[in-house]
Formats: sequence, structure tokens, C-alpha cells
Amino acid sequence: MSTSMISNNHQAMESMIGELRDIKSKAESLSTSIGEDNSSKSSGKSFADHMMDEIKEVNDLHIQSDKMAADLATGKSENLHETMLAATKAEIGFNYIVQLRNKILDAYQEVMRMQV
Amino acid sequence: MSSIFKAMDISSSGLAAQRVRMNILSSNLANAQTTKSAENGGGPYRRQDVVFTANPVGEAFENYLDEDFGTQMQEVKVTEIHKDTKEPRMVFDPTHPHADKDGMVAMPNIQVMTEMVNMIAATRAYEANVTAMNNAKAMAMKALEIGR
Repeated sequence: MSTSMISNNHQAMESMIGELRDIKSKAESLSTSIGEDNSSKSSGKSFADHMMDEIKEVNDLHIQSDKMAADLATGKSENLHETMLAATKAEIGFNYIVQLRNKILDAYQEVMRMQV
Repeated sequence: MSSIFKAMDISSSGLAAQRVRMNILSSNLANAQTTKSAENGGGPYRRQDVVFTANPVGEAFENYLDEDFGTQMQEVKVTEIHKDTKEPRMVFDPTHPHADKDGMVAMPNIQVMTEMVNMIAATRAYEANVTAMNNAKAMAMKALEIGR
């Protein structure tokens, strides 16, 4: 995987994080408008926080893959197969996050379509 | 997440091991006619061989968490590069600068055919590990298709 592709993935991930923040704030404003108390939030991590952790983990995979590709290109390391492995891991992780995002957006849209 | 990647990490250790093996085999082939080396008192080059050892994958604590299965998964490590102790092959060549008083030259005891066969085996083993890794990836990708 080329470095430019990886940085593209970075950008995609950044925009995805922004999207999720958007959804989170919308959901929070919705829950406050219907008068739900946020006591459940203090008891533990919210779903959005878990999601963010997941994204951070995958982002770390990308950073690692990026670093290994740069090291290989500059001759700092000679780990050809480990670089490819890091790129593959980043690819799988990214696909996982994309699927997760699709699922969340589906659920969100399903809720928004609900008849009141 | 890491459990998905475990199979790939194990395959990666196999790739690393086979690459070391390949390097050693190249060294054997390149030095098949070398009559002088820095080691063993300036004698002929000695054939080398890699020794693979199975290692439990991951950290010890992680193995505990995985209960019985943790110790079943083992990655491969090159723990030793074994030097052949076979006597060097004596060849009659009085014109050779390293010939002894009888005109005999000590040549490395390397069979080029054996090395070539080992090299094919190493290549195939490398390919097998790459295939295992690709299949692990295909499984992970397939899992992402669930419910689509």
C-alpha cells in the first residue's frame, strides 16, 4: 500500500471521526430535549466513546503502517513482509471501521425515520 | 481486534524464519568453493544450517487469559545457526595457493544440489506462509460482510 493511500485513509478517518462527533452531539441534543437525565453517562463510557476508542485503535494501525512504509522506503528497516503485514492490518481495521460506521448510520437513520 | 491478527502474526514469524533460512542457504551456495574463512582457524567455509524452535505466541500473561488455547499457538523462531562439523572435502590441486605440502586443498563440504533443493523448500514454505496469511485476511474480510 502506498504512503499516499495511507494518508488518504487518514483523511477519510478524520472525516469519519467528525461525522461521528456530529451524530453524538445530535443524539445528545435529542436526549436533552426529551428531558432524559444524563446520569447514565457518568456511570461509564458512552457508546460514542467506545466507538472513538475503536477508531483510535485502527488509526494507530494506520500510523504504524505509515511509519513502517516510510522506514522501508528510507532504508531504515528491511522488514518487507512485516511492512506488508502492517498495511494489511490497517486495511482490515479500516474496513472494520467503515462497516461499523455503516451500521451506526443505518441505526441512526432508522430511528430518525420513526413515526412520532 | 488482536485475536484476528494472531494467525497473521504467526505466519509473519514463519516468513521471517524462512527468510533467514534463505539467507543462510545463499551463503552456503556463494561459499561452495571458498577455501579460506575468518573463522575456524582460516580453514575452508563450513556449511551452515538454521535451527527452528516453536515459541508460544504473545506474552505469558496473555496466554493465561486465553486459557488452554494460548499455549497451543506457537510461532517459529530461528534460535541457532548450526555449523556443520563434517570434515572438509580434500581435492588434489597443487597450483592452488591454499594447497598443503601434498598438493591437497581443503574445500567446503557443500553439495550444491542439496542446497538448491533446500532453497526450493524454503521458497515453497515462504509461499505457504503467505497463503496462510492471505487466507486469514480473507476470513477477516468475510466476517466484515456479515449482515451486509
